[in-house]
Amino acid sequence: MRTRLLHIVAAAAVVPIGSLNFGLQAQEAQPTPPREPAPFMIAPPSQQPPAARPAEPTPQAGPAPTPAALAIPASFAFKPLLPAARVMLEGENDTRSWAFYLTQDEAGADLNLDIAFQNALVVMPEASRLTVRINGERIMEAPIASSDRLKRTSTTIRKGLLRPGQNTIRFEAVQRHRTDCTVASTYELWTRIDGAGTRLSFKNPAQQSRLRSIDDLPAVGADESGQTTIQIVAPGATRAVAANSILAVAQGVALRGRYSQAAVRVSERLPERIRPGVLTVLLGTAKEVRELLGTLPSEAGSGSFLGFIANSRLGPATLLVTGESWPDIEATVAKFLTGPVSRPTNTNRKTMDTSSWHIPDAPFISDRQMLRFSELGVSTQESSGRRMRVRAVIAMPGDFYANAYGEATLYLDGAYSEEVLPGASRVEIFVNGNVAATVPLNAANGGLFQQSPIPIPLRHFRPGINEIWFEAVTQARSDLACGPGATLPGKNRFALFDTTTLAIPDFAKIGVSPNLAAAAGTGFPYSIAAHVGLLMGRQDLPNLGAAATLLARLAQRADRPLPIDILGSAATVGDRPALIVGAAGQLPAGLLPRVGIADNVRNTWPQRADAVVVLPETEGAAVFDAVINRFQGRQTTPEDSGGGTPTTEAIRDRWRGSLGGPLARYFISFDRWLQRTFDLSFAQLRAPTRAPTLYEPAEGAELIAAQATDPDTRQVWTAFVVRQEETLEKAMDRLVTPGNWAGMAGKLTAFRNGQDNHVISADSTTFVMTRAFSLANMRLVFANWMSSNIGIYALTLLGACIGLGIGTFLMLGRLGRRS
Amino acid sequence: MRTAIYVIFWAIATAVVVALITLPISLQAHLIAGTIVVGAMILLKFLRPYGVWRLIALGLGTAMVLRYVYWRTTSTLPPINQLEDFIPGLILYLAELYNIGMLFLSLFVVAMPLPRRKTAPPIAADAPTVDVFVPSYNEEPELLATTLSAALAMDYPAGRLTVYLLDDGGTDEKCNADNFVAASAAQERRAALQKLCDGLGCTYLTRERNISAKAGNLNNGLANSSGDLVVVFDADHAPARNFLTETIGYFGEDPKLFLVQTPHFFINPDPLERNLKTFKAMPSENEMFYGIIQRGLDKWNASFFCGSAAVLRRTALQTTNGFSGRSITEDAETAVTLHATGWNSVYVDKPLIAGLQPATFASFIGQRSRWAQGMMQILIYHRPMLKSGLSLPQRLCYSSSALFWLFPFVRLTFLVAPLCYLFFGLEIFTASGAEFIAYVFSYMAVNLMMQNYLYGRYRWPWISELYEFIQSVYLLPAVISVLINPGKPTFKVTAKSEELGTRRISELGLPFFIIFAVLALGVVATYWRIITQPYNADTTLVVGLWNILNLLMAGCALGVVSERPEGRGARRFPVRRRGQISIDGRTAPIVTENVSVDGVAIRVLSKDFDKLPVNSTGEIAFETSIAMPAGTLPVRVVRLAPDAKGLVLGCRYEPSEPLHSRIIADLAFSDAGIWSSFQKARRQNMGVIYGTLRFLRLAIFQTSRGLSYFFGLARLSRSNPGRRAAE
Repeated sequence: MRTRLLHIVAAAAVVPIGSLNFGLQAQEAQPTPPREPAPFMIAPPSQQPPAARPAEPTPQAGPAPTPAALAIPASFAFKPLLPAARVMLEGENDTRSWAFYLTQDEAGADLNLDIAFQNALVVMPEASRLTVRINGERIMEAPIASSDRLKRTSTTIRKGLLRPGQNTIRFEAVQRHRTDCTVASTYELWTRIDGAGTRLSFKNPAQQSRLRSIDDLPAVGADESGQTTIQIVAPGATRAVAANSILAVAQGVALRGRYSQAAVRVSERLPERIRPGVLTVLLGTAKEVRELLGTLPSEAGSGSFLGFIANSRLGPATLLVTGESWPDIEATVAKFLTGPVSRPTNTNRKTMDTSSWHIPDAPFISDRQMLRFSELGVSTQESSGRRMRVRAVIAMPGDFYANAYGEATLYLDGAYSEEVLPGASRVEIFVNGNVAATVPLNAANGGLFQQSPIPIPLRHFRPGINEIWFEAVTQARSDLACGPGATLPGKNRFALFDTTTLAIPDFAKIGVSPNLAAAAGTGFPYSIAAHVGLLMGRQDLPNLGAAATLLARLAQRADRPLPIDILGSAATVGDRPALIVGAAGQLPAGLLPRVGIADNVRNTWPQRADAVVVLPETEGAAVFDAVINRFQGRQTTPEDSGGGTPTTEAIRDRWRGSLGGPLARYFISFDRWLQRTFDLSFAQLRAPTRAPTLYEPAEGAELIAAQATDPDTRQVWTAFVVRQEETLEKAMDRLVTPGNWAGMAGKLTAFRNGQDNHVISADSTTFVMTRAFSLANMRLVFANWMSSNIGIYALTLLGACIGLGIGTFLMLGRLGRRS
Repeated sequence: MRTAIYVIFWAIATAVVVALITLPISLQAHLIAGTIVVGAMILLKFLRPYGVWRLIALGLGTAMVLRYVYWRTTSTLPPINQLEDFIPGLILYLAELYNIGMLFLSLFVVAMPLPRRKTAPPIAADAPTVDVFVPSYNEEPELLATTLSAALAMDYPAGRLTVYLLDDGGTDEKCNADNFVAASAAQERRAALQKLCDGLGCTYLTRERNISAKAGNLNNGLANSSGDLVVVFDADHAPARNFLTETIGYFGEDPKLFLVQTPHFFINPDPLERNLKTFKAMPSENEMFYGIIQRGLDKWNASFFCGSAAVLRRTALQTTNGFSGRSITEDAETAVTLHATGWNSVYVDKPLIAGLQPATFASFIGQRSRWAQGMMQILIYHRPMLKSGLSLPQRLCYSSSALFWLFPFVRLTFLVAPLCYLFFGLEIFTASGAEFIAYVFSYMAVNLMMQNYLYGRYRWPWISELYEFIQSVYLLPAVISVLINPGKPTFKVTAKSEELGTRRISELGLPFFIIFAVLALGVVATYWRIITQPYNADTTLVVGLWNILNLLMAGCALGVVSERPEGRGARRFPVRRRGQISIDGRTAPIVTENVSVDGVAIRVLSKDFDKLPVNSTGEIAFETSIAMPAGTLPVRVVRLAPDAKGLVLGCRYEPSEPLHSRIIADLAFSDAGIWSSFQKARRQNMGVIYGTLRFLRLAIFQTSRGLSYFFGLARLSRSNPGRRAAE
C-alpha cells in the first residue's frame, strides 16, 4: 500500500513538459554499461555457427571481396537495425516493433541477424525470454540471462523471408523478477537492446550492392546510434544560388528516406571516409561534378540527372544531382525528388510516418474519430503479470486546440480475474508520460468491461505525435505472500481485447502562435505556408548544414517539403512565416528581440564560461527512448533512483510547505488539496502579465528555440539560436533527435546540458484561422480558450447572468399583469 | 414596442447564457466559475435580495443549475450496456430532470409575483346580488352554525345577500337509505339543520341524489338560486365581516372576471405543525401557495379556484353548465375550463376566512390524496400544456400546478437511490469525487439558495422536502392508481374537526418506521463498506452522506406520525371587547383578552369573582360589531387565572340557539386583521444556514421522540397528572 501511494505521489509530481533531456543524462536512472567499443569495427562475416560465436568479436580480416564494380568497405558488412543507440524493453511484457528497408540486392543476400542485449540483474532468467520476429516470423528466442555483460547472438535468416523495401522487426520481452512480487519491482525489469551489436550482417559483403532508384532511399538505413547522415557534397555550396537546391535536396531525401534522425552536413569536398548510415549526395553543375570526380559518371549522361551512381570511392549510397546550370538542377530536384511528395496544403494526411520507430504509422486525427486498438497495432492479449502495458501512437494536427477542455473516451473492452485484489489494482492511461485517467479495479470477484467508457482529458495531448500507454496494474493475494516461484507467470489476471476503442471527439481546431509544440509536431504553421523565409546567421557551410537539418526534420513532420526563400535580411521577410537559424553571435542586431530574446545575448552568451560538458556524439540518439525514460524516472521511488536530483518544482514545493504561519500553511494545504483533486491552483487565477520580458539564457543553455508573431507582418517567426558557432551543427543534430524535438513547447524552449529543458509558455497568443469558419468549431475554440482563461469565463458568465436578470426584470415588468 | 425590445434583449441574454453554459469547459473552469457565481449569489442575498437584484441572483442560480444539467446529461449516465446500472441510473436522472423542470416552472410562476393589492375597488351603488353557498356533507350543526352566522354577518347592502346551506348529508337518497340507522340519522340531520337555518335566517337546500359530490351539490345550489355572484365557503371556513367588501368590487371592474379567490387561513395546526410544535413559529404549509404562488399565478391571470373562500360569477359558471365534476378537484377543473374560454381571475392576498385543517395524519393524507388524484385527472383530461384557449403563461402555470403532484415518484427515487449503491454496489451515477464536489455541491447550494430567494419568508429550508416525504409514501399508490385508471377515484370528504385525546402513533405510521429502519441499515452498510473497501471510501462517504440526509428526513417523519394529544386546540386571537358577565345573579364588567371559536378568555373587572368554582356556568353579553338582536352567550368557566392586574377567566362557549352562534361568529370572525398579523409574525426569512441547522436539530429531536413513542416509552410519561390537567 505504501509503495502504491508513493507511486501516485511520484506520478502527480511530474512536470508535464520539459523533462526531456538535451544531452547525456538520459540513461542516468539506470546502471550505465561500459561504453561500447568504437562503432566502426571491422567485423568478420560470421563463419562460425551462431552458438559458438564468441561474445567479443575478434577483429579479423574477411576473405578478399570478389572483384566487383564496386569495392565495398568492410564496415558495410553490417546494416544496423535500431532506430537509436539502444532500445529498452521494460516491465514484465514489452514489445517494440519498427520497420527497416532493404534494397533488392540486400533482400536476396545471405544474412544473419545479430542481436546484442543486456538486462537488469533482477530479471529471472528461467522465466524471462526475448523473442525477435522479422516480418512476423519468429527468428530468435533466447532466455534473458545476461546481466553482467552484453550478450550477443546471431541467427541465420531464412532465404525469402526478407523482401525488398519495407520489412518489420519486432522485439518481444517477457520478464519476471527474481524475488519481488510488488508492482514497484516491475519497474526494475529491463532489457536493453544495443544499437551497435544489433544488425543484419552479410555473410558475403560482396553480395550486397548499391542503391538503384530513388525509392531505395530508405534502405540507406542508419548508423549504430540510429542517425542517418546526409552528406551533401556541393562544390558551389557557398554561392547563394546553390543554397535553394541544397535545402530542397535535404528535405526531399529526408522525407522520402523516412529516417528517424537525419543530420545534414554540407561540404565542398568529398568525405574522407564512408560508413553505414551515410548518404552522400553529389550536388552541382556538370562542370563542378566533373571537377570534383575528375570525370562525370556515365549515368549522368550529358544533361540533368538525379539518381544513384556507382562509385568506388563514395560507397554504395551515392546520389548524384546535376544539371547544366543551377536553375536546371532546381527543376530536376523539383521534378524527381520533391515533386512526388509535395502534398497540397489543403488536404489532410491520414497517417503520420512513425515507421522508423513504431509501426503501424500513427493515424492522423483531424476530426472526430473512433480508433480500435486493432488499428493501433494493439492485439488482444492476456497478462499474468502485475503490470500490463500497451502502447498506441496517434497524431494530432498542428491546429489542435483542445488541451484545456477536451476529453477523449476510451471504450474499454477487457476483463480481470477474481484473483485481482481490489484496492491495489487499477487501470491507468498515460498520455505522453502523464497520468490522464485512473480506473480502480475494485470488484472483489473480477470484472468485465464492455465498452466501458473512460474519460481521458486531452490536456497532455499536443500537435504531432502522441504516445498513449494503457497500463493495467493488477495485484493478487499471492503477491502479498510472495512465496517461492510466486513471480513466475501464473494465471491470467487481465485481458485486453482489441475491440477497445479510443474515441476522439470533434475538437477545437485553430492555429495558435507562438506554440513551438505545433512547430515541432507538424511543422505548423510552416507546413501550410506557401513560402517560408529562412534567415541564416551566415551563408556558410555549418549554417547551411544546420538549416538543412532543421528543414529536413520540419519537412518530415509536415509531410511535405517546405518552399524555402533564403533571405538576406530581416527586412525582406515580408508576408511569409520565417525561420531563423544561427549562432547567437552571427545574428544581426535587433533580430532576437523580435522573437523574445534579449539583444545583448548576442554578445554575452557565447562568451559565458559555462561548465564545459563533453557530449558524446551518439548519446543524443539515446533520447529516442526519452519518453519511456521519463516515464520510468517518474515511476521510480526516491530510494530506487539513488537520490537523483529532485526537480526545482519539488524543492520549491517542499520549501513552500514548510514556511509561513499556521494560517498560511492552512492556505497552502488547501491549495495543495485543490491541486491534487482538481489540478487547480490559485496561481491559475492570476492575471497573465502583459509586460513582455526578453529572455536571457539561464546557466547551461546551449540552444534556444523561440517563436513569436511579428507585430508588423503578423507572421510567425521561429528562431533556433545556438550559443557558439563551433557547435552549430552538433547542437542542431541533437535538437532533431526525437526526444529533444518533442520537448519543444511554449513560446521559448531553452535546451540545457544536463538539465531539464526550460520551457516558457506563451503569455499572449494570437490565433490563426486554419479552416473554413464554422460555428461548431468556434464554439469549441471558445470552450478551450475559456478553460484556459478561467477568470474571464467566470466574469463573462457573471456578466451574462446579470444581463439575464436585468432582462427578465424588464421583460416581466412589461408582461402579464402589472402591479 | 418597448415590450418587444425587452423581450429581444431577454432572448439575447438567454442565448448568451445558454451558449456559455453549454461550452464544454474543463472541470477546473467550472469549479472556479461556479465558486464565483455562488459567491455572487451569497453576496447579493446579504445586500439586496429584492427587485432586480433578486432576478439577477436567480439568473446566476439558473446558470449553475443549467451547468449541472449539462454535465449530468453529458457525462454521468452509466453506460447503456450495463443495464443493472443504467436503468436505475436513468430513473434517477429523470427524477432529477423533473425536479429541475419544476424548478424552472416555478421560477416562471413566481419570478415576479404580483404584489398585494392595496385597496379593493369600491362596490357599485347597485351592488350585485350575492348567493353564499355553504356545502356540507357530514359536519356537525355547531360548526355549521358558526360558519353560517359568520356568513350572515358579512358587510353587504341589505337584501342583496342570501346564504344557502347546501346539505348533502340530508338528501332524499340518504333519508331513504336501506340502512335504517343511517336513514334515520340523515332525517334527523335534515330536521336539525332546517331548524338552524330558520333560526339564523338562511336557506336550507338539499337534493334528491348525491351525484357528482361537491360539484353536484354546488350546481344544485346554482339551480335553486339567482344571485349575480356566488360565494363558496366550506362548512368549516368562517368568513370575516369584510369578505365581500374586499372582493366584490373587482367584478365591477372587469366584466370577464369569473373568480376572486382569497387565501385559506387555518386556525388550527396540521399534523406536522402540531406534532413538531412549529405552528406558532413557522409559516404554515399553505402559506407558500397562498402567500406567493397564487400571487405569481395572478400575474399571469392564472390564479385558480381553491374550492372555498372565493367569489364566482354566475354568468361565467352558466357557460360551462356550472361547476365541473369530472375530476375530484372540481375547483381547479372549473377554473381551467373558464380560463380556457377567456374568463379572468383575480387573487386577493388577504386572509378573509378562518378555517380548520385536518388534525390527524390520516385525514391529512386523505385530503392530499384527493388533491393529488384530482390534479392528475386534470392533467389527463385537460392536458393544460396543450389546452386551446389558454395563453402560454396560463398553460405553464396550470402545468406547474398539476405536475407538482408527481413528486412522490421523485421523492422515493431519491430515497432509494443511495441504497442501490450501499446495499448492492450499483454505480448509477458515474462521477469522480472531484466532479461530484465541483458539480453536485454547487448545484445543491444553489438549489437551496434559489428556494430561499423564491420562498424564503414563506418556507423554511428543508420543510418542503419533509412535507413531500411524508406524503410520498401514500401518494405514490394514489397517483399510480389514477394514472392507470383516471376515472376511478371518488370524492371523499376530509374530516377536520377531529379530537386527539391520547398520544399514539398514527394508523398510517408503520411504513415510516420501516423506512427509517432500512435507511438506518444503510448507515450500517456505509460503515461496513468503508471498513471493508477503504479504496472506495470517497464514493461511499458521498453516498452515505446522501443516505444520512434521507435518514434525517425519515426521522423527522417519525415525529410527524407520532401524534401528540391536543384538544380542539383552536388558535386564540387577541380581541378586545367590553361586556359584562353574570354568574349566579352577580354581574361584573369584563374585557375580553383573547378569543377562539371554542372559548374566550375574559378579564373580570371586579373583585367578587375571586372564589368562583371551576365549572360554574354563566352568561356573557358583549358589544357587537354589527347590528343583531341583543342576547347573552352561555359559557362554562374552565379555568381561573389570577394575575397582578386582576382575574382572568377561561370560558368555554355552551351555545344552544342560533343567536349564540351569531354572537360567537361576531366575536371570533369580525376582524380579519388579526389573522394577517398572526401570519406576518411567522413570516421571517431565517436563511439557508440557520434554517438547515434548525432542521437538523428538529430532525434529531423528532427522531428520538418518534422512536420513544414506538417503543412505548410514551406510556410511562402519560400518567403525568400535571399534563392531564393542562389538557
